[in-house]
Amino acid sequence: MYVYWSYWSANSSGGWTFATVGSASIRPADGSVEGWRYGAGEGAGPSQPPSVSPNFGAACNGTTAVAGKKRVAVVIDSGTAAVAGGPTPPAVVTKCAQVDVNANGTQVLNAVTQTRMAADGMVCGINGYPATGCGVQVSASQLNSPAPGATSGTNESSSSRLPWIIGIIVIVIIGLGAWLISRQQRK
Amino acid sequence: MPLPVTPGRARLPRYLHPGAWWLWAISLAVAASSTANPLLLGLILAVAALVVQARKPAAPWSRSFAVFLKLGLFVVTIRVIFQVILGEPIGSHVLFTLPSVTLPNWLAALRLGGQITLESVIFAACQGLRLAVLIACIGAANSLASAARLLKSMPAALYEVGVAIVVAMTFAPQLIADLGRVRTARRLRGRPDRGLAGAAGAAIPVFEGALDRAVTLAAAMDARGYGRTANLPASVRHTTTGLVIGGLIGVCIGLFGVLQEGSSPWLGPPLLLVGVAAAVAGLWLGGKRAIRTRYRPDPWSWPEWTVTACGAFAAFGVIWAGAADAAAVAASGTPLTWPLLPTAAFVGILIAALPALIAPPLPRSVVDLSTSRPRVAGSARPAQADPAEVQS
Repeated sequence: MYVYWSYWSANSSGGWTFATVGSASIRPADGSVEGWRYGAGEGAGPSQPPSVSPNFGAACNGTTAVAGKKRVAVVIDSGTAAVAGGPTPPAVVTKCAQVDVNANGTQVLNAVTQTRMAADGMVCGINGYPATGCGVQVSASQLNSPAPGATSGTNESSSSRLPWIIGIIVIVIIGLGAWLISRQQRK
Repeated sequence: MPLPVTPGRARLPRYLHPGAWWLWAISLAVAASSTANPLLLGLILAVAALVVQARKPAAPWSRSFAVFLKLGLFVVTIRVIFQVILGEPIGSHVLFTLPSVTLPNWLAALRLGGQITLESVIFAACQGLRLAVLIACIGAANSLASAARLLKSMPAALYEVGVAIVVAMTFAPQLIADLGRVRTARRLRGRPDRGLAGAAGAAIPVFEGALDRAVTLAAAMDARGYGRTANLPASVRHTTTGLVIGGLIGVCIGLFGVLQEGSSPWLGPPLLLVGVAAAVAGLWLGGKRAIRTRYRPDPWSWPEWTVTACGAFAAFGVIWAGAADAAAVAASGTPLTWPLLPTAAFVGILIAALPALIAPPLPRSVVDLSTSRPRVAGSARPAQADPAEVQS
């Protein structure tokens, strides 16, 4: 099973509906509530919905409506400690996003949080949780007894330029070799 | 059966078996398709260019690598343009803003114009680069291995298909020359030679000429004994059919089992191997039907094995690195990070550059048509130029 950020929309009966398309393909209406929950899901099955019920009024009462923009409430539930596998997850956060009328779900999320996304648009981390990894695969036993080193995969070389420099130098050397060989053959 | 290899023969100047070059190139292509990391992709491209420059023969068809590189550049440009016009902006470094058009709700994932971010452009460039490097690997195989010699190595069961392909390849230039001649004749007679009327008018003479040539060639080949088949008993033929069909079904189910998660372990690799073995056995058995002798088949000795292994190292290295850390071989999303250089992939791809040294040196060409150098005096080796004869 995988642990990932799942995307929910509030339905008319006060509960949560699992979104069947990605957040980039849905345009939330003005006055709707979006939910994001970090949990474990098996294959295509949904995980748990956010643990608080959707409440647009409580979230967006303090934000006045502006012409040409819409207000969308966003609930971010970082999951339980069992799923965290190490650090304590942050508490549930509710925000109000005021975005362009045509914004889709991803833009609504980006407007109110710091999102870490993979290149194909999958949400990996929200507000720095989890710090690394994207949709990690865990076994059922790991969920019941949180392992301390679950997120110790990559080190902090993501901001280091050294591998990039070494790689560029090697590529240039090889390219130079190819060019020299072609010059030699032309003589 | 390959010729017996005498010691020292492996370093004599000769052409490497074309199948070895294709296996090396396909392994590099597998490595390229498993990653979107621009560093690794650039490394694969550089390695392919180095080996091509070092070991490509001096023949007209071996200069096609540049064409494939230009095609790759075109692919990257088109991909970036599509992302700029249609793609979703990811990330926050806005480069510039185009006038945007609102699309209906069912196209909410696309948008026309709008903000163009650095992250989305880099993502599109990495995806395009992956396809471009894939194309370049196939182009490298095209430049290094002669297609005609590859057809010589076809299994006996596909012998007739191979002959047909060689005939088509030999006659394709003549078809184009025919077309030019017919169009010139039509222009001299004042008839339209462009557009639909021109094409319709030129088609009949060209097809007639091609058919005439094909019938003449068929009669000549038949007179020389091509196309005879052995008289195999019905049981052997039925066994061949059963093995091939059963093998293909086994390969299909085995592939499904390998790709589908959660299926039983018996459905995956074991069935795939059994299917492949059955299909190969069926091909070998079906080859007994073709009666042919092979003239000087290309040897397959340790340089071929080593070149293939070097390519396999690149593929394994990249796939291993991807399995260990998926983020290292992927393009960077948001926030933008410098690309990583996983060690396994780096070493594997560098090993794939060894064929530039390991492959036997090329025989000195007798005449190099590009520079019109004079004939090398006293060359006792027969000209190993591209054989255009219909021979298998």
